[in-house]
Formats: sequence, C-alpha cells, structure tokens
Amino acid sequence: MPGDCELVDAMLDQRAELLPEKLHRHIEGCARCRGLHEWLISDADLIDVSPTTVDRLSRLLKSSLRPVNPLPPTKVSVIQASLCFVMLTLGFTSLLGTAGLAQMGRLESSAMVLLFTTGLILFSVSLARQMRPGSGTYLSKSMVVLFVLGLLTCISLLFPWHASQSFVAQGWPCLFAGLVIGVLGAVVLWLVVRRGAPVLPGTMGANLGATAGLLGVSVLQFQCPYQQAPHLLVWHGTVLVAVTLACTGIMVIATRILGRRK
Amino acid sequence: VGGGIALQRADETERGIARDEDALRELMRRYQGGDPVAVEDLVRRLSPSLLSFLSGPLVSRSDADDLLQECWLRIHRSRHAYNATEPLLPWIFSIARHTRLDGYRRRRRHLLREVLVEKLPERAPTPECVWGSHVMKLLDRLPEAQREVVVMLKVSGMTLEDVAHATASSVGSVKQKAHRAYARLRQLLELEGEK
Repeated sequence: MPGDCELVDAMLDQRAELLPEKLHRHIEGCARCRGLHEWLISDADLIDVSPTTVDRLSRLLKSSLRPVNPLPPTKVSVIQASLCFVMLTLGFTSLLGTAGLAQMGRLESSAMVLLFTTGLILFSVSLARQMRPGSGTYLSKSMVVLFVLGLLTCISLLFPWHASQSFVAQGWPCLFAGLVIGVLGAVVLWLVVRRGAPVLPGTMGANLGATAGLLGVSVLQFQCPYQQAPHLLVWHGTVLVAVTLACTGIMVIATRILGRRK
Repeated sequence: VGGGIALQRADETERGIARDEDALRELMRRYQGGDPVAVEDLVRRLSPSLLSFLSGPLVSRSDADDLLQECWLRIHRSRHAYNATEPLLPWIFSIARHTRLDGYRRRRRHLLREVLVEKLPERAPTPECVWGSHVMKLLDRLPEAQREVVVMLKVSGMTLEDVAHATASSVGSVKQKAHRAYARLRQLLELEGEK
C-alpha cells in the first residue's frame, strides 16, 4: 500500500508520534513502516556514561571552578560594536578632513552612507552572534555576496571611470592610511569582542577584519579627494580585502598557538 | 479514547521537556556562579546525550570519551558566554558539534601519517555496537550533516529551532536535512527488507 507508506513518511517528517487508527493496521503488515514507527516512538538510545567518568569530569571542572561574569545580551554587543565603529569613523574623519565628502554629490554620499550603514549592521550582528555559541546563523555567504555586489555596483555606476595619470602615486597614501585605520579599528573592535567564545576562530577573524576594513574604507571615502571608480575599487577596495585576510590569519594562528599551550 | 490519552501523554511530555529545559538553565546559571553541585548535576544529566552525539561509526569508545572530556573543557572555558535567558541545549550542542568536527580532522591527520603494518591490530568495539535499535545503527550510514541533525532531533530531543541555532543554519535548512535523512533511512530499510 504505497499511499499508506507515504502517509507514514509524512507523519515521520512532522515527528508526529500519534498515528491514525487506519495507519496502525497498515504498520502491522509493513515491515519498513513498522521499523520507522518503532524508532520514532522509542526512547532515545543514549550511550551510558559510567559513574567513574562522571566523577572524573566533575572533579576536572571543579578544580578550576570560580564565578564568572556572563556576557551581556547580544543586543548590547551589537550596540557596543556599532558605537565603536561610528565613534572611530567620526574621530578619524575629523582628524583627516572631509575633502571626499565635498567632491561627492548628494546621491553619491547618500548611497555610500547607506551601504556603509548596511555593512555595519550586518557585520556587528554577526560579530555579536559569533561571541556566543548556538546563537543562530552568522553572516550568510549570500548576504556577503549581496553586500559586495551592492558596493561594487554603486561605485561603478555613481563614480566616473577615468583614471588620472598619477594613479599609483595617488593610491599609495590612501592604501597606507586605510591600513593604519583598519588595524587600529581591529584592535578597538577586538577589545569589544575579546570576551566572546567563538567556535570558529577563522570566521570570527574574517568578520572582525571585514568590520575594521569597512571602517578604513568609510573614513577614506569621506577624506579622499580622488573620487573616481578605478581609484576607489583598487586602492580603497584593497584596504577591505587586506585587513580581512590579515585578521583571519592572525586569529587562526593565535588560536593554534593558544590551543597548543592549553 | 485512545487518541485522547495519546494526546494527553504528548502534552505531558512537552511540559516535561520544558521543565527539564528550565532546570538545565537554572543549573547552568548556578554553574556560572561557581556552584560545584550544579557542575556535577550538569555533567551527569548531559553527558549521555553528548557522548551519543560525539560517537560515530569511526570513533572508538575511548576516542569518544576523550571527545566528551574535551567538550566539557570547552564548555567550562566558554561558560561566561551563555546567556541564561536563552535555551541551553543549542549552546551546548554548538560547542559539541565543533569538538566533534575538530576530533574528526585530528583523526584524519593521524590516519594520513599512519604506517602500514603487516598484521592488523584487534579493533576496539565501536559505540555503534552499544546503540540499541536497528535504525540507530543505520544512522551511521547517513552523511555527517544529516546524521547530526537527526541525532540532535531524536536523541537529544531538541526542537527544529534549537537545532538551527546549534548548527548556525536556518530552520528550513534543518528541515531539508532531516527530510533527506528520513528519505535515506527509508531507502536503507527497504533495501534491508529486500535482503
């Protein structure tokens, strides 16, 4: 009776233990469905842990037991990371000037502020979640791809595509300034997230680096007087990529070294 | 009448799970406060589920015990990162999941460095021998991502939302993996039936 088998499968998918009377009759005659149903209603098969093991584990944990201060809720960490980002952006922009902002029109500046704000929200929520194991999805790959595509499209469509004669000479100072801002930003953001317990240190490093890189790019966007698409994509874009890669590497290496010591 | 009794039993089970979850949260809160009794109680209550989750077809019992110890040490080091307003099991199983993955990577590295011997040593009994029901043995033939979802749902009694949080994925993705796992289990049962 394939129709009844499908009904049993549907109940299994819904994890429903209560079957209609009609299906009980079907189960009696169908070995496959009986196997599945018995498994569904059976108690979980847990592997026994011996009392000796429980004692050994308890003693091990108790040997270094002391009260700990729990992390604040996720929302607080998101606000802390976002505030750091905004304060650092304002601080560096007031220090380095706003020549870039003067070069941009209303449309360009609004689009870039919107993109940076979106990136900040995405990255800070992801950072806060990664600080706590089991707190849900981090930054999904599709979100990262969408954000990067949005950034590339905006720059490509809104900014002129002519490169000046001194493309490299104009680019180096931007790259250097962006990297310095990114590194300083990464240090400050690390102070915010250092108490977290990430289960994937590499991903946490990449996330931290991307946030710090975005900080560097946003300060450059408001400060840099060369507002052409090739300059923004090559020199400002390199800041984002380099800081992300550097932080990922540092986090992975640091975790390995600390893991060996433990 | 039978349906009514069954519904009542399901309702009681649901309330029992909720009570258990509350008790676990309270124990974890006391553990964060440095209460040694809470530590012992938590270890006793959660270790069987954790050990069942950490075991697998290629993991010997001693390896599984080592993974369990490592998992508890990680939980101990990260205990400040638990928020008592959130469910405990996704937090615990998220750590267990990465302990298991790291253990798998370590074993693979060791296997690559192994030297062939003339006579094979006697193999230690694997936990699959311990697992009672026939279907539970079939779980070991599922892909890892599907197996872990079914074990969390069935063995640990977690909800779809809890499993989604523990595996850092969406509820839809968990449902899809569970659906594929059940389909594969049906196939395996049918094949066994034909034999």
